[in-house]
Amino acid sequence: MLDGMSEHVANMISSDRCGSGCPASLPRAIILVGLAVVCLACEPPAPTACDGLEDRRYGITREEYAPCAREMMTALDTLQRQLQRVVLRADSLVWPEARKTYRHLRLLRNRVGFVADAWRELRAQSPGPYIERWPDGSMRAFNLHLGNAFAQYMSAVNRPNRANLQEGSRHHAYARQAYARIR
Amino acid sequence: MPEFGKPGKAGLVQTLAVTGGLLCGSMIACGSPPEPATSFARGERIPLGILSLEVRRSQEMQRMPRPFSGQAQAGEKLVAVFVHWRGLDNYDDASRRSLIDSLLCNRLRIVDSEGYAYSCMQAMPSDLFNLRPSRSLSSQWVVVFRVWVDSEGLVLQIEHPEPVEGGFRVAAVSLD
Repeated sequence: MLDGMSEHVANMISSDRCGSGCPASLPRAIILVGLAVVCLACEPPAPTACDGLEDRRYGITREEYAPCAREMMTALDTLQRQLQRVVLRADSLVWPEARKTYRHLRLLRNRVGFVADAWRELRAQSPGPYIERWPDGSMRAFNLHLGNAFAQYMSAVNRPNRANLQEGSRHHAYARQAYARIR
Repeated sequence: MPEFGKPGKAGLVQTLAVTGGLLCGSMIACGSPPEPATSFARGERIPLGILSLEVRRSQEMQRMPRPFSGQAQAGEKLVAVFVHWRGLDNYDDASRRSLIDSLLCNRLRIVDSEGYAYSCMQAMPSDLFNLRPSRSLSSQWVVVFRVWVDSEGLVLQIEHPEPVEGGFRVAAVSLD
């Protein structure tokens, strides 16, 4: 459908009788190109293994969470390798890739609903809603260490430095241990 | 000097439109009336997704058994509700304990015949309540509420944390 719209927009621009030299065609072309950009931006995001978890309020099981946890661990492992190259070997070419992996991990965490978890906990002024959503202690431990590693790596992505990378790697190792219990 | 005549047809229509808008607005703000609770008998299994609950009995008292410190204030009484849960077979004891503790204290409440609602004061395994040593986590729990001393027609309400289609949102068990 999107391709069809882009084609339609291109046809509208090319079918302009005034030609490219005509001053009246320029605003029209700008508007149409802007429309095409907006349409591209509206493209639905790619599906992930974490989709649907945000809507759950109660009793997420290990079976449901395992594929999402695997995808997040893979992203975390990739991010660690990329940051090691950026920080320890001063390989600045890998930095854009690290930023991309970080954004992907952030997307996965949002799809799980960690931000909403924090708000619900704050509103209830108790960990009750979080415990009801994540009854399994091992999953809660995984979420905690993953969140800590993510926060440290985020700092290392924004400003490459050894301290955040080391601290992130420490939490990353804990997250890996917790992951081994839930997969 | 301005003339104040009878309101015209346009004024009447305007007044009706404003009144109608206000009525619609207030109806939207208030929302639909609350869904009636689904009744369950005492001892009947109440499905709550990954676990189920049964309400066994209730008991009125003035203070918690020693060494617990909770006691009813003037004009109040304590109501202990004894429940039994099943399920959570794939979880360890610590996970079960934290979920049961949270669920019982956050999702259970007592409502009296006048519509006053009382939230949980404390939830604990019945072994602990009766001061009996226990190695594993008991499936019998006690939930204690503090209610007005002259309240009558007590009903225990259990809110489903994630209601499924066709299922109940709130379960009710009479404690009389």
